[in-house]
Amino acid sequence: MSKPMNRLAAEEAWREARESFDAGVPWLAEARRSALEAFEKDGLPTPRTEDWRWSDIHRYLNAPYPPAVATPAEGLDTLVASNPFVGVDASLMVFVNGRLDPGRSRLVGEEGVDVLALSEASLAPEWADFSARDDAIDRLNLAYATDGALVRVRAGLQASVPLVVLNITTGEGISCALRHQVRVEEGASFTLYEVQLGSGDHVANVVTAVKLDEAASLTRIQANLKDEATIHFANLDADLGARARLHDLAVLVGGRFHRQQDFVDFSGEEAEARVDSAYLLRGRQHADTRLVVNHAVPHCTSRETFKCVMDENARGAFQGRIHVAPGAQKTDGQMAAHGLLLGEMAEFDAKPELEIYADDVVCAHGATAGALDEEQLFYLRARGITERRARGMLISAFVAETFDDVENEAARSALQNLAESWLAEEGGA
Amino acid sequence: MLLNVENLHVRVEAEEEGEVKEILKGLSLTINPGEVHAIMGPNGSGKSTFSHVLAGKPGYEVTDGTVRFRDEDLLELEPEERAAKGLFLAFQYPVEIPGVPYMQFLKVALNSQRKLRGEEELSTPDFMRLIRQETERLNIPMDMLRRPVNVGFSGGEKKRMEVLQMAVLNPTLCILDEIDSGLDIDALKVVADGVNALRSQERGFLLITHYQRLLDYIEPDHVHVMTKGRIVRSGGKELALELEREGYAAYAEENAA
Repeated sequence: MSKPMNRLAAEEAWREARESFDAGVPWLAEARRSALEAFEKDGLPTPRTEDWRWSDIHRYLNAPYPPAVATPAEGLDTLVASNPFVGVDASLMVFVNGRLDPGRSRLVGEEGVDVLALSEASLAPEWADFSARDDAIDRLNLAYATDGALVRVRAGLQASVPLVVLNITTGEGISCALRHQVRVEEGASFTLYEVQLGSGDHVANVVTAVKLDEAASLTRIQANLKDEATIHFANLDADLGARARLHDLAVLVGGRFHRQQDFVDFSGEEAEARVDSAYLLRGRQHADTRLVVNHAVPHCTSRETFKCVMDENARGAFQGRIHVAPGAQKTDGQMAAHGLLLGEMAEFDAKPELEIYADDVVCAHGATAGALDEEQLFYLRARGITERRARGMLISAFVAETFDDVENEAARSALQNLAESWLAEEGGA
Repeated sequence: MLLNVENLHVRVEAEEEGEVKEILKGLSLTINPGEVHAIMGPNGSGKSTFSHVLAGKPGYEVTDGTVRFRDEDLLELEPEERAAKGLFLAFQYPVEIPGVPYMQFLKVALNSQRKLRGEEELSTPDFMRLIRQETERLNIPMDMLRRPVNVGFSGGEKKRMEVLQMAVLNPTLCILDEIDSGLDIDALKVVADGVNALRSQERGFLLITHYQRLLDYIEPDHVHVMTKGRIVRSGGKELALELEREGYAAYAEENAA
């Protein structure tokens, strides 16, 4: 069979790696094989793929990024030290270029919480499901994932020790994939922090699959602090049972290209999901979020708020869809995307959509884009607040809405600090 | 002398592209410490423009004249520098700022002014003491300070909070732009009491109003009539009563003639 001429250099490298690449984890071989076959059949999305309309990955994946084999030794201490959630009392798992770094990880044992690295598991955990959904990034991830966190929270346990996972990818011209699995059993609750760290022109692909049983609850907070050369794909794949609750928040200040995809599936009634994002972009950063909320069953609630600040030539994009299946009555879904444009060359694209096949639902969506409000700015300055500080206060206020309900105080102030340090570099002066 | 305005001419770019409109046409006014001045005039006479220009709102062009505030060229200063020098504008329409708690706003404003003046910032306990004292005096529940700036406040609450800001920031010249607009009589009394409590030997006031009613509660030393961008008559507080009886029509004609 002849190879298509338009295949990207990165895609070519991933296909070639198929034979030589040894991911370890023998029990995953079968799942990998079918993910890879599906990936090879459909390939990467093209600019004509509707779900990718604002992210031309051909611009970013036109060089080979073969799977990483060696772990770099330099700069790791600094990267680990830049963990914003260092003040949160938690277990720590550090992954470096696709492998657990046991020396830098520190697990605080808690009865009823099983935490294990994928690479350490000798058998497939019976509670986890390793299959890829109909998505190129997810397939690629499963095909090349070398490690990940496996977390199981036993029924009824309100876990007191959260887990902080550092997804470090650092280096040039490589790719790494991590696949985390979190299962929160009936009535249990857990908090997971994920930090995307690292530098260099590379591709990282991190998938976090979450399954919440009946009345289970999970808070997941993700921060991306990567440097301006990186390409990052991050998927959330969440399945919510009856009366389960998910609070997911992604805060992003780093990266050259970032694609976030959140898939939230309601499979039991009266569950609630809240999925928020706050992006602070400048330079030539490009960050794109795709959000798909599937209300397959009645009586579930979903709230999505996307806040994106863009300066200079940065570009933010949001595509969100709330899908309400036939019979999913009493669905309450609301989705909002707001862009704050600070630079004249910045660009914001948003497409929130509702797809409703039930007749007794309350659903809404909205999108706005604009600059800082001149009246608000003048009001603050008229009270003696300098223009720079006033702008900072208004930008913070714009994103703060997404932080306000983070219960852990150390985590909340860590996120505020991230925004503050972004602001401190704002305007150059 | 606190404020000295000489022959002020101000233009503003009108809604229609490129069209420039002169709003102030040779306004002169002097305010000394301890004095309360009132500018009265019909809608469109330029009263609010004058207050905006004094506070440094962007969008206005001063084409002629001078404004000196405490022996400095006011027009050279940024809005925040004017505030730090002691100029305070109580807005006709206080702006809502979602996401910024009132308490934080006040604290940042006060300390930013102190910093601009080269003074030490106020510590949190000292700040809280000041806030407690002033909110009690103005009968403002502390709860309101935990809410975002002006969001969901009634017209009366917004104006009362402007007076609280004035009390906390301790300015030397207070410009009150239509502080009476949108207030019922009870709210007006509360606001006027707050303002009267701030009257002192050192502090000057400029009240901008359409109606004489406000001046029943805040008694001015000087009243000026403004029409078409200029002060056309000045007098004592009795001038306000005369205006109330006879209206602005006579001045409008006089000015046009």
